[in-house]
Amino acid sequence: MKPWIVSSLSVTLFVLLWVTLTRESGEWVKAPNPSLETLIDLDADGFSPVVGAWEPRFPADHGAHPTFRSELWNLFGWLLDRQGRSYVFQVNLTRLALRAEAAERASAWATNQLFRGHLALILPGVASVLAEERLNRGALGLAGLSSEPVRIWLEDWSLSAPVDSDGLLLEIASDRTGLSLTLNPIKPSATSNDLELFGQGPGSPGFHLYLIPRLAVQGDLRLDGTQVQVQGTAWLDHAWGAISGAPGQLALSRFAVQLDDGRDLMCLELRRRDGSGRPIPSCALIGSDGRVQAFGRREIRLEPVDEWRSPATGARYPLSWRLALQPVGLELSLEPLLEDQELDPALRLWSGAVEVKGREGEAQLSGRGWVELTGLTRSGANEL
Amino acid sequence: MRLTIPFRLGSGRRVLAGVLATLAIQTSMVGCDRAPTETLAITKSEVGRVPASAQRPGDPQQGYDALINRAIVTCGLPYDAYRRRTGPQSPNLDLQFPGRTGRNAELPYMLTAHVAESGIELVTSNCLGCHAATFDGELIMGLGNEFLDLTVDPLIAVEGAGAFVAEGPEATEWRRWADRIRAISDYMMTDTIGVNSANNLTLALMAHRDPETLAWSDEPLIEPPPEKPLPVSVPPWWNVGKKRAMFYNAEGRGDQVRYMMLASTVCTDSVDEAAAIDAWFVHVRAYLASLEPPSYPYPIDPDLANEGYRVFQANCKKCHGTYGEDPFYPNKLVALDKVKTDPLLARKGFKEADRFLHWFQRSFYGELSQAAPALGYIAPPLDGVWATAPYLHNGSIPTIAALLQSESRPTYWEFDREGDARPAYDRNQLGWAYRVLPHGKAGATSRNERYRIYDTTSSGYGNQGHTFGDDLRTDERLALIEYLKTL
Ligand code: HEC
Ligand code: HEC
Repeated sequence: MKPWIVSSLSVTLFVLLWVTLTRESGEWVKAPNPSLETLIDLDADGFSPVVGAWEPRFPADHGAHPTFRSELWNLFGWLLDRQGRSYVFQVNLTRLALRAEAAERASAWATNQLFRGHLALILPGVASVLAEERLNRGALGLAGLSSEPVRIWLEDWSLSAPVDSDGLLLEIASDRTGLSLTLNPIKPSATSNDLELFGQGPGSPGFHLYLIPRLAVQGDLRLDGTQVQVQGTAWLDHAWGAISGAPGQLALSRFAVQLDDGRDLMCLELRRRDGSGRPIPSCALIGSDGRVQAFGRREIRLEPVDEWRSPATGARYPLSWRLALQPVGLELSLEPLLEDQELDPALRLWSGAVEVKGREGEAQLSGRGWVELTGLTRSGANEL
Repeated sequence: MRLTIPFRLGSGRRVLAGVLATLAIQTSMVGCDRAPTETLAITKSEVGRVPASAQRPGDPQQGYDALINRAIVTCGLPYDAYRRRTGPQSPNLDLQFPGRTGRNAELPYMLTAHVAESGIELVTSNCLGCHAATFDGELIMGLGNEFLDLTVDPLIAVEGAGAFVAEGPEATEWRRWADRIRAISDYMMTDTIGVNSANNLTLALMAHRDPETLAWSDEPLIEPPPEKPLPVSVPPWWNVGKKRAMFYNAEGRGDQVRYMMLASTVCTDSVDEAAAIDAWFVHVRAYLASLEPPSYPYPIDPDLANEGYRVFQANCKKCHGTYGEDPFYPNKLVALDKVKTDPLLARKGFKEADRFLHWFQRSFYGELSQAAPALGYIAPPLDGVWATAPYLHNGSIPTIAALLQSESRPTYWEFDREGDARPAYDRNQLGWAYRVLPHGKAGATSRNERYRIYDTTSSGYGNQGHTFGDDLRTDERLALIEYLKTL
């Protein structure tokens, strides 16, 4: 039963973007690609199975795992320039193998893959998100992956892991903007086992997942020709395996918080898509030393206090949240940096930055975070 | 696609047909329980001999067939969703009871197929998730499952199953099941792997039903039990035929069929439904009463066992009876101040459960029975006792050797095993291999570790009392252990 739970839950989360690929391929058809349904061999066997005990190894595991069907990298970052102005970015990279190929044929892995990249950037003083998208098939030679050095790329976007460091290099270029950032872990990675979300102990969830809740970021940001030096922190998620796109009756929200005192918090909230029942939260508090403390639904209060209706899609999103971890007396409020951070209108997916304030007993707390959730339609039901 | 389902319907009486729930896969969760007396007045029992009460006749053969093929819990996970999750092959199918037919033949033994009134086929839990277990790889009917992990939040499993559920009537069945589990899940989570919470769970179910109509209410109608269940070990079924009263405190007096059915009240929403189950459950009871204990599968030293027989006759017989040729079982309810084992289960049942006793007596379930708790525990028949470790009503003592010598009982212990594997069977001490730990739950560094520790300093988990073996010489104790293998 344990693996069942994880695969039904965490998957849903990381898969939100996938849903575009596997279910709503109509959206994709707009992209310069043939219809996905004709490309993806959905019943394909032959992908690597995801088996039990596993520990990530770096830098190799930062890279792509092309013998697995699908893969996601999410990077969220909060940067400051010398003047103290803040820049918030979110980069999502996704990879989907169209069909399984013999593992030896490395070249086949490169051509057989579909890549998508999405950038969302919030600039100082700008009340809207700057978004960019890349979508490519490896076969066209416009995207690819390599293991030596560890790198995945789509046109002029790439994420790589230099051999001589445990860090990552993110390069994003487009007409208007560009990012050139090095990211170095401040905390160890945590796997889904470590986080014990929803009471998960060891067990295979059907995919591998690790996150690095805090990386130090340094680099340059280009905007309309000018270059600014920035530094700050980021959060990385990376998952691969049999990530299936259908969340059935479920919807999942995800809350990632970096507190200024060095602790990080990840919470998931499982809901029914039709809005019935009471949502089930689960949280993991990651200390500055990387130690994880898990909290179950009876120890958490997580409530939306405000709602925003997207003018573009009509979807309603609960955007301001109160979060309390009762056993440690931690109380936080999460307020969106901007209301309109609807990442994917087709999916009714809101994925954006939040400012965090709160307290723990007498002590004041502050921090920043990212929230991902699916919206509700007017009837009160979640739509996906 | 969108869909709006109003969640709480005022009165809570739902018209849906008969799905009832329990959760699937390894955590089954129905319960059995305790119940009260005669008229609306409730009764308490004195310790001492339990009087006999007539049982309705039934056909054991028919009972076996029903037990393994008919659903008692009528809500669950839609079969198609179950299949989407497991793939074409169910796990653990190598362990199966003979005679399962149709869909049941392809489901693990602790799950039963049921077609709801909506026409949706469901996978439901049955009694065997708790009341069957393996010994040395062999599946044994009626052996209590002492490895069930009820520390897991059932709600997450049940809600999480929604990932595999399709829109429409399937989703409706799933929601009904999930809503029921939600109402009771907080009452069934233990903090130690292996101990059972069936009692508490059943009380929680009672709190959500009108005793007269059996209609479900989303809000409790009487004060629910405390959330934290007291730990209980699952007693073996092969003693049913000897015992005149069910349950550790012998409160289950009178007709036994409906006590057993209480396990099914998760989704039994009307007296008609309950009566329909009762009609075939008399056969199930007859089958349980016909069960024989398994035979000890390893060599026994007959001379030593013979010596042990004498030790037993001298020290144990007056409470536990005699075995062999002409067996006699005294049905003796022993006062707490005599047996001195952890008193909490008996005390709570005696003092803090009156509202449930009332509920039971007013309901269909109590029509032919009198729930009458006592301040004591029944001295159980010791047939097949070598197989039923850990021991005492709360499973606090890992082996018979430790039971018979109280200073050797571990204060903190866990099964000696890798992950979820079965521990080795210890033929010298009679019980599952265990490790003595230097600390209790407070010293655990992870949740997982904490759940594995049996901490006898927790309330209700005590391992004191029953010191009737303490004065035996070492050789007498060895002989006695050898004799117990023959039962
Ligand atoms: C969740 C686990 C669980 C399930 C499911 C369950 N039981 Fe039980 N059962 C228990 C426990 C624990 C006890 C001991 C309760 C006590 O004595 O206080 C028990 C006691 C009993 C007893 C009394 C045994 C004795 O020696 O006193 C019988 C008979 C019984 N159950 C039958 C059933 C039947 C029939 C079903 C299916 C309809 C069932 N049980 C389902 C856990 C379970
Ligand atoms: C005064 C009555 C009495 C005497 C004498 C007695 N017992 Fe018990 N025994 C009990 C009671 C009552 C229980 C149940 C206690 C509980 O569960 O808390 C019990 C429980 C047990 C159990 C645990 C059964 C199980 O499945 O958990 C075993 C084994 C046992 N006794 C063996 C013996 C042996 C061997 C002797 C003789 C040395 C003996 N008893 C003497 C009353 C007695």
